[in-house]
Amino acid sequence: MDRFADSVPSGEAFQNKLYEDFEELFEVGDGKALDLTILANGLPVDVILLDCLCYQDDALFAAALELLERTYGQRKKLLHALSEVTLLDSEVVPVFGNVGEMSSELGFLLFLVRSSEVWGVCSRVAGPFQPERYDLVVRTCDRISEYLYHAPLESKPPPGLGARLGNAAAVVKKRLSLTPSLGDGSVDNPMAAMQIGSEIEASTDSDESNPTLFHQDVMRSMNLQTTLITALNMDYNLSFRGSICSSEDKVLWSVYSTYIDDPA
Amino acid sequence: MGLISALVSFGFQSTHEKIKDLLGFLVSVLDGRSDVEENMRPFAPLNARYHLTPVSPAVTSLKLQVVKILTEVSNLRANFRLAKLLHKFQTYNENAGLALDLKKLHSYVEENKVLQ
Repeated sequence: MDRFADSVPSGEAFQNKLYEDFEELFEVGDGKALDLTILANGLPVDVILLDCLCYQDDALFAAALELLERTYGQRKKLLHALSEVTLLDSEVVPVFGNVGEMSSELGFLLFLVRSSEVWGVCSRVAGPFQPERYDLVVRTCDRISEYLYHAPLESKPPPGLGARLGNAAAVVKKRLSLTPSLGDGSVDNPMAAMQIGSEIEASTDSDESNPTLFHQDVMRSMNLQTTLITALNMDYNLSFRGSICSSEDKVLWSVYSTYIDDPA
Repeated sequence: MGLISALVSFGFQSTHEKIKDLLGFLVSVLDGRSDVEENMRPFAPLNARYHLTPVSPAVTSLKLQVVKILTEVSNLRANFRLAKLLHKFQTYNENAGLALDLKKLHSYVEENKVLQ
């Protein structure tokens, strides 16, 4: 594989600048001044922490070891945080309008999902049902789904790399369309062959059947998985909990929920 | 100690001078060479301070609190560095040449990630 410095004329200088700027966070100025040994007026913090490991106390051992690991893993931790970042070309995102709006809606969705035992039951503590909250959850989920299947916004690649990226995308598309999902051992099975055939047909027919990978990454960066896990842990019989509503109310609420899910 | 830990974690001890004043004292408490026996004499031999005794849990508990405060300071430091890094990223994007190089690097990484 060729190196970035060989592919781009200013690549090597840029890589050096990136490296120096990154190291500056640890070795120069404020970054260096926040070193624990300097903050402790020159006392050897690392040696003192090693000394703490010798005490017959499990909690102290664990805490001292964790702090040592943090001290010597600062670059790794920062690089890991960077690898979790998803870069966007602009603030504009489809369906939601902009990143701020998307973040706000996803944050409120997480709040609603976590507080379902307040708005999804009718009790003396929680008060009456709040169908508007349920509507909002459903609407936000629809918007997320629409965003995941929406085509990414067009952005111009840097000069010289457009053709290569196009080739890379073509290679990936070819691989995806030819990769059987059941493995090599299932090719002799006629049912498997039929399934593989239909998969290949589906993948070449329309791109709308697959979500956009980049949008999935963006949602992952926005911690959508936590919302989904929380939602999956919701009690499916939630509306039948509570103390002050009648059985008729509970059934009506269930019917209302079903109607919202499938108006037809 | 619990109060100091809470003050640090809530950001009330966030300036360099305040942290330095605090840590100088706390690390000297953590330093095992200053440990003393019940009669206020230094341990003899020195490694006797590691052993479990009726009073040692109180000492290790205090040291544990200090380590937790140091961990809070480490968190503060990590957040500060992340903020500086993001500021640098903003500076890169405000400079046309650097922003172009950054986009090229991003495209290059994405391309090679795909091909792998």
